[in-house]
Amino acid sequence: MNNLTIKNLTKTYKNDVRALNNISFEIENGMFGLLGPNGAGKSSLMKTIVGLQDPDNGSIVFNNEDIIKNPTFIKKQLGYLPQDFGVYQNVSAYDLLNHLATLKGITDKTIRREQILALLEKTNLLEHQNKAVSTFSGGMRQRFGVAQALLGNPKIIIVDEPTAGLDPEERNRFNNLLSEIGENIIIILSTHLVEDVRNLCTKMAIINKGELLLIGNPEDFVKGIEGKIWKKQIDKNELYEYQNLYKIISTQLQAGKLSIRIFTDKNPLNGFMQTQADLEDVYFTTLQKLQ
Amino acid sequence: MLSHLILFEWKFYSSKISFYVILLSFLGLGIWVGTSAQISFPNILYNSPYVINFLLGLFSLACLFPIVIIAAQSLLREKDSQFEHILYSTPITIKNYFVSRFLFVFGVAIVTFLLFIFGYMIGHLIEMENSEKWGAFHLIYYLNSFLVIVLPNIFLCTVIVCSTAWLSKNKMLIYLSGLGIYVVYMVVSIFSNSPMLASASPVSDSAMKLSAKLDPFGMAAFFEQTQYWTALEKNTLILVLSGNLLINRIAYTTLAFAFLYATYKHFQFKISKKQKKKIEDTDKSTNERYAYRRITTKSSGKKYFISTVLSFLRIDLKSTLKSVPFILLIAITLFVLGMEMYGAIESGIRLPQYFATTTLMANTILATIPFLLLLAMLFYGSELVWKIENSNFSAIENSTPFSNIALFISKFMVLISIAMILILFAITIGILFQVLFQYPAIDWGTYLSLFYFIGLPASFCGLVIIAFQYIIRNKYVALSVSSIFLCLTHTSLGKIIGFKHPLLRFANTIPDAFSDINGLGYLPTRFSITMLYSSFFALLVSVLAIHLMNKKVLKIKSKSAVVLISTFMAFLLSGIYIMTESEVISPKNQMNWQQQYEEKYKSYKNNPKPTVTDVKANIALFPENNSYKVQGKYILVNKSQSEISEILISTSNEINWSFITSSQLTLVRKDEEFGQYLFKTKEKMLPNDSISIDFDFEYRINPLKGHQSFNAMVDNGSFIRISNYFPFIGYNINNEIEDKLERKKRGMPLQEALTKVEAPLENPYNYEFINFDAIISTSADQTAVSTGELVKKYSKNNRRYFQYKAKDIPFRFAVSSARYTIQKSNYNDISIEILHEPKHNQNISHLINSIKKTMQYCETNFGKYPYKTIRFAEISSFTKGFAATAYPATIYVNEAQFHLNLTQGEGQDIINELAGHELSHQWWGNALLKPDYREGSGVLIETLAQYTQLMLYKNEYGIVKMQEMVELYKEMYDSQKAFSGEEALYNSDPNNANVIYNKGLVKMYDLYLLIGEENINLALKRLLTKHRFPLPPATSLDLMNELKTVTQKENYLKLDDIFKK
Repeated sequence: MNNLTIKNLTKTYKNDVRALNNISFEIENGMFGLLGPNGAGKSSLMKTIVGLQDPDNGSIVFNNEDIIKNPTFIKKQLGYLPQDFGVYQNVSAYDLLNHLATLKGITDKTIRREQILALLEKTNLLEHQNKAVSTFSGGMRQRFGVAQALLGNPKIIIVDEPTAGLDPEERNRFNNLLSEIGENIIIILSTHLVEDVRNLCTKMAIINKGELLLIGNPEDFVKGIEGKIWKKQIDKNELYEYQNLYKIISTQLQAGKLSIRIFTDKNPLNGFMQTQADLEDVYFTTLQKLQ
Repeated sequence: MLSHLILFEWKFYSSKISFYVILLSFLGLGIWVGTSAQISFPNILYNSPYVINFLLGLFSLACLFPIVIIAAQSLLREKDSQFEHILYSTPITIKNYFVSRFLFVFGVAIVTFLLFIFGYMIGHLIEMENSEKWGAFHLIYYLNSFLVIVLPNIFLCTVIVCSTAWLSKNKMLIYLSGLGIYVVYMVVSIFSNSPMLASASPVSDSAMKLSAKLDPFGMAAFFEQTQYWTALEKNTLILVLSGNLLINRIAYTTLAFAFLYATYKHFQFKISKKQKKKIEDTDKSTNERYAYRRITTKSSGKKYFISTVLSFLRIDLKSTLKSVPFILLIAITLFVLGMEMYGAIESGIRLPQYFATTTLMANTILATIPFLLLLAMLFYGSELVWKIENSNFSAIENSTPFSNIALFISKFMVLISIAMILILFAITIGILFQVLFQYPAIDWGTYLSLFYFIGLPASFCGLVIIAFQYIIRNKYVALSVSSIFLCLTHTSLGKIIGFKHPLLRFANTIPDAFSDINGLGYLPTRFSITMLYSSFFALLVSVLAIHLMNKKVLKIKSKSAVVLISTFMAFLLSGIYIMTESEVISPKNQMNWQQQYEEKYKSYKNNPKPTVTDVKANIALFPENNSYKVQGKYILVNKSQSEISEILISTSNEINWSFITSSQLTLVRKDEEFGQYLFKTKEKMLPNDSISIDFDFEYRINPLKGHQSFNAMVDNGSFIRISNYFPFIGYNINNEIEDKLERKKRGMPLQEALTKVEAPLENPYNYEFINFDAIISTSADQTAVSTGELVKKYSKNNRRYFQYKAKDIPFRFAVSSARYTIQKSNYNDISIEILHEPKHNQNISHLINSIKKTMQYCETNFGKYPYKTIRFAEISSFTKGFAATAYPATIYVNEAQFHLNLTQGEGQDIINELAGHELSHQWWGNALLKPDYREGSGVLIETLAQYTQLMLYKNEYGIVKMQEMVELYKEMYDSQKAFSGEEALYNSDPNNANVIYNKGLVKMYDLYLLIGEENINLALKRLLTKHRFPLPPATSLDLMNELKTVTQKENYLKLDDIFKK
């Protein structure tokens, strides 16, 4: 069983932006979803775990090894897909994977070749293996990123918004791939697609402004607010009025009318209907600190 | 709107520290150059408009630094940040955008250069108090030069770089355009024959005019406008926009405007086309052929380390070699090297073609490629380090466990590979030229050695450049630091500024040139030692860089501390070794020495001293050790009218002295510092008394110190004017400081003036001639050549011995030794011997023919040849300073002048000239007519030899060819007369080569037109009859008098004009 323990992690950038504020949690094998709005600190957290940047304070321990002191330890068993990445000019997909596989430590040429071809096939890039990655379209490039993250024998895979830019079908395929390989290892997945977390993850966390707001099992969270979510269709002009009266979680336009969801322990009456709670409600209530 | 845009640019840069670093470094550079770069031309002030023009023109290309850096950052910023789409949809007009950006780059370049000039002026003002070589300060000199030369250059450079940026939208191409301009500048300097580069032969007037028009940077036009200026004019006149300079400046500025306008027209707010059509995705194939399995990795150990290094290397090479800049680099190399090789073979209008030997090709590569490689290292060293970062791939790569050492090593290996590929390419071009010019004797060893001699230093430079990038961690600052570092250690600019000591010339002891006879001789030893030293420096910086690669703070573990300290120690020790061995004496210390010598020993100058009458010597040459040993004996005779009781003997400090002794003398004082031995005679030497002295000395070339040009004791083709190293009796006036200004600065009186041409001769006149008898031994496979007749030769103990004797010759003798082939012939009863390198056999029969014709001409017209033998011996190019030099019965010819392809090219028959000139010295200037050293004495030696050469040339090739030759010498004279002065022949300084050779030949042609060849020869014959040894020697006035006897009265005035104007 792999284990990643983070304690009191703090990181402040030069421009005084506090990216991580005293974050602590512990995870083990399985998929871990990181939810949060843009700029919440998801990427910072991931970069810090990967060892691309040093924290100001706190500790990260992976399988009993302090990886701030010894970042190479985690790099030896890591697959990482950053949020966005570039590639060398004029270098083909196969060559680039070959390079990364070598860096990861697959020293045997034949074995390396087999795994690369398998990954190219899995990501549907086999046909384009000899074309320069710099000429790939966005989706293809993202799939290339996925392929490289799976090279070798990663014990921990960290993927930063992996499905951004993928079409629904590709996204599906990617999610399947992740859950297929994610059984005996740790996968950290950051996203702002709440649905993905619900489908894939056994454990999740919500962070905002560098702070960890919530961590646990998605199902439990949903259960926790069951029966407290109400919804109503209102006129657009009425929104201000309602905002003063209720804790509005989210608003949504439906055929020109505004549908609002509120969080409350007792029946708000006034035409509100009780509705099924979902993870998105958990997300928004957490962000707005309504609970 | 426009000002807003410019202001916005300013805001962007004003917050960048690197921007201020650039500005300040230019100011600093200016001050530094102003205080220390004192380019001296004879009689020209350091702050004269001429020097200011020269220096600012030279530095005007430094504006490329800010231009390229700002252009690369500013002009493509929108593309880099992918802001194009938004910017191009705003209402900014093309005109405003274009003009504002251009003006910003141009403005920054002007400001930086003005800072440089400002610093330069400050430097001048600081230094002005200190020396006489300064004139009054005039702001207008600087402004004039800035406006006429610099500003148009900056404009042109900015236009080229900015246009490249906008048209290509490629950063690499921006750098390359900067590089390209620099390369063009170098090529132009070579072709415009700028005094910045030493050149083999002068350009013709028409070529000068042409290059004045064509040189885009105006330097050729500057040289053209000032070429005939006197020193006074150069000190006071500023450049005038007229003639070719005006045409040049207007043409290039107009051209630049046109180009800019064309770019503007072409420039459109379009999203750069660079994004090629993306590959279309394909449907997923359903059947799976490969199964994904996890694979255990092993990311430690040697095998992993090596495989990561190789992987980085492969991936970097793949993306580098296919890139546009690399192809351009290859193209530039081809262009420059091709031009250079062609130029080397063609060798100008004075000479015929050289044979396309491997040596010549390799020398051209040595002269061209190291510089190009340095630029390539600078460019790639910076690009490679930041490539991952720039391509935003670092996040992925850095999440793998490779070690930084592997990364560092791989970057280094990419640079090595680039260097090797470029050298290989250069060699290929060399071989191609050899085949093309039909000299396919390819010397593979020489070519292969280039990988070592060029590749190694380039690699070290690359290593330091990479290390600087990792240490400084800011691409442009590190690039500037590396550039400054290399500028100081590798360019002549650095030398001017004071980076002269071998320890400061990092990885810059590439041997200058191969000799066809001697290869590189001892130079590889020097190269290897200094490279070892450089390698420790490079290693030290690299180790430091690797440590700083992960951590922001330097934390050194004890193990790596050991590495660091031991590298540092090795660096220090090798430095100390080089320092002690190379013993560089600064010019200042050298002059201090000279001053002290003069002050200490001048009193001996007018003391009576004995004359050397007989020299006997055993000279043992050891070519394989670069050493020789001499045992010698002098007989000294008191030829003065007074008694002598004290004898001062001067010796050269170049040499290791064992002893100087005499049974008739007692040593009073031995002064090691000045190499002076003061003896007292045991009994007073009365007039005509004689004594003998014995001495013993040896010499060995110290590779780190190098050799004096006339002491080239090399492996093959040695030449030593060994009389220079024999003991010298009395005060040696050659040790005095000659520079008048320097003497004044040191408060020393003027040197004694040259003896006037009219001054009476001593009576009786002491020629100080000697009888020479030397046994010269050398290796078994070599032949030794010396002065006079070869009387005996034999072999003993696996060495060969040659005894040479000569009676009544000047105290001036030399030896040479090489693996010669000997070609013999004879003229009447005089035997002719040509000793030459076996490969250099092409011109031998022509030389023999020319010798015979010269002999016939000289014997018929001037008198009998005084020896039984005429010997021409070829020597290696390790001796520099002459094409050929004549000693009694022996003439030494430098290989560079010997191995020419007379059938090709437009130059003259150099062999005919050489035979004519040098052989005639047997009449003029050696043992027959030997003038007293005074004003005009050079005319009786060199001018008469030039005349003989000219007549022989006319007899062989006719009047028209002769006139061409006269025209050529006239041009040579005109181009150098600003430096040499325009002395009249009859009282000219014997050291003024431009007057006695070039003007001399032209004037003798005038004389030929005036009175005809027959009359001249008649007069010369009479002169020789009246003044040959041992009769009193001739002066130039005697020559004029003899010429008068064969000139009609009405032409006296014209005759006078020839010699006195």
